[in-house]
Amino acid sequence: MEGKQISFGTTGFEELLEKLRDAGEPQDIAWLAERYIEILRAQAQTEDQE
Amino acid sequence: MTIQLPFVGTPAERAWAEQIHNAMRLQARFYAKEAPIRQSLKNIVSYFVARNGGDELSVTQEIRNALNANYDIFALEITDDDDVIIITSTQGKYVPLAFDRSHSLTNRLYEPENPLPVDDMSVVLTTNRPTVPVIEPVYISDYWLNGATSTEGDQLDDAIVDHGYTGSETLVPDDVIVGAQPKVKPINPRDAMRINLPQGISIDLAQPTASIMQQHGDAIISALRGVIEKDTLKRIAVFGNQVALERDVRTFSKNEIRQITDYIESEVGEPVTDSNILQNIINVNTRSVDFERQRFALNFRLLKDLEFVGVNGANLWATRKLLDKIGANKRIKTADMGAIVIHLEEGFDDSVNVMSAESIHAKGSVTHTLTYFEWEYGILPLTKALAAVLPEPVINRQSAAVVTFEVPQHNFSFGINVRFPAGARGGWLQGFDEFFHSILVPGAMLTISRTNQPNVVTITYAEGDERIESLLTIEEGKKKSKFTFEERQFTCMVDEDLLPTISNVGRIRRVKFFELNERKNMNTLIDALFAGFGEKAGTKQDPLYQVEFEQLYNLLTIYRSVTRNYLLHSLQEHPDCRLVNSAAGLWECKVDVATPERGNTSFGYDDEDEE
Repeated sequence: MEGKQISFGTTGFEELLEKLRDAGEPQDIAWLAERYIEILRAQAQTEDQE
Repeated sequence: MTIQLPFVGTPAERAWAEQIHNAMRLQARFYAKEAPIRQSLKNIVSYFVARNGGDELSVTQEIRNALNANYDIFALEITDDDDVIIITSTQGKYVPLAFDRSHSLTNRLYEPENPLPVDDMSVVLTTNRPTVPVIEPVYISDYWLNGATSTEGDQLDDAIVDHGYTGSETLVPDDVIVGAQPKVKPINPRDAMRINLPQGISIDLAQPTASIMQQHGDAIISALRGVIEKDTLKRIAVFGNQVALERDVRTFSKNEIRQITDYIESEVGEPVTDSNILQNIINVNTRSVDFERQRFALNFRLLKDLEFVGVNGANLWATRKLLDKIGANKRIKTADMGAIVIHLEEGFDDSVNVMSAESIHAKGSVTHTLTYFEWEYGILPLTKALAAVLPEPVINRQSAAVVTFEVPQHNFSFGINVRFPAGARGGWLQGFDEFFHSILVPGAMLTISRTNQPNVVTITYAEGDERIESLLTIEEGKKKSKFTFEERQFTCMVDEDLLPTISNVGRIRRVKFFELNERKNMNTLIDALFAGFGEKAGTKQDPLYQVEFEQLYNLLTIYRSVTRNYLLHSLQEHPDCRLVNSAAGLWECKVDVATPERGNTSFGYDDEDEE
């Protein structure tokens, strides 16, 4: 199986914007980084299952 | 809108046709009246069977009869699946739109009524596409992407993968795999859970988020900042450590920006906090529910129009005009001073050799002995030790901050312009002129301490007995300046080695003055100081001068900011200098014959004053 490459900054960036929009308020950049790690992990797991 | 269509056929067929048309119009109630409405016969039959009841076959037949009778209104189309598609429109018969292309732009361009000569057409249009620059991807070796920490086990895994072995088959020697299919390297499940940061750091996503952040938080945040910055749509707004969706950040009108500028410049006359601006100009109460959102918006939007001069905990705003006035010193040019202190950024900052920056930060205060150069120009170099007690900058690549220095011994305070290092420029603090010149002398021992307020620090000095000394000063001339001595009364304790008395540095009158922009070159200064202060050790033909390291250091602090590390490095790199006695720290320098030496008029020496 040839999986899609997960790339920092490209993969899941749209989802990250969604998270920020859902937050509503300005957030600490560390919070954003944590959310991004979670998004990337979820994507990696999805690919792994495929 | 009621539409009366001329349905034909038997009364039953007309009734069916009307019902079918009504049902299809319902489906297309938002369509244009001439737009086609399509529906399959199967769906129409199912709809009416469910609605009116009856046998599917007989209903199909009745509908077919009605459609056939009203072929002017309903067109039929047979699909590949042998299904029948009914096509009509709100106004009745569907007539496909015919586009009149006789007056299209293409036609007018290619077939104009009065064509230009063919030669001139190249001026009007071209069939060549403009070249779009292609950004070539930068190849990064897998070795680095995979963390460069391959173990023996990893290598073994790689070897197995290279042979196409996935664990479920038997390994066979290479020569047996003849004519095998091209190998596709499968993704190692372990690699699939790893992410590589642009800095080359590989992170295992299988770890808990908190653990990842603890281990690589700074690198991830730094990489994320880079990603946000490179986003061409600029969808994330950043101010300091805060982020928000850009389109959710409110904007401020030109009038509001003008009011803020006037308020800072004309009414307050010094940097103003974001809260102050929000309350007094934008009329947002600090207790307002969306105060923090408004504060973020103000800070983010003002970056474009005003100068941010705040520090962590105090977001201060100034105008360029106001900032130029804080710590203003016409004798200092940013480029010159930046070059004079750049050695601090080049690894020669030795201010934390005795006590680490962390210890100084924890202690909250730092001591510093004032040099002549600092005293004369009212500056302090931004060393690591000093930075440890000063508040940190807030935004990325912040160039300046305004910090209030309180002098508790004299009950006054003043604003200092902190110039942060940037590019080929070191950092320094500017604006101490009045304080230094009115109260202190070179050699004074200062203590700078943090306070509870983020943008306020205190500066104190060690007090001593009252003294009067003839000390070095600069006599500013119309064309050129020169060193001279004048009596000063002071009550501060001093480091005697750095006190520029006649006995310590009297010979300086025989050394070239050197304007600020001439002091960047260490070798030139070293040559001049060896020639002016050194003990002669060579011959007339081969002039050598010897000076002790500490004396040379003290002399250099008159001309510029310097550290012992930087001086040692400069001496070691100097082609004509060498250490002749390491125990005494004695250095010898061969001063080039072209270099003006003692008595040389080109230096403007004043031999009559020599001690």
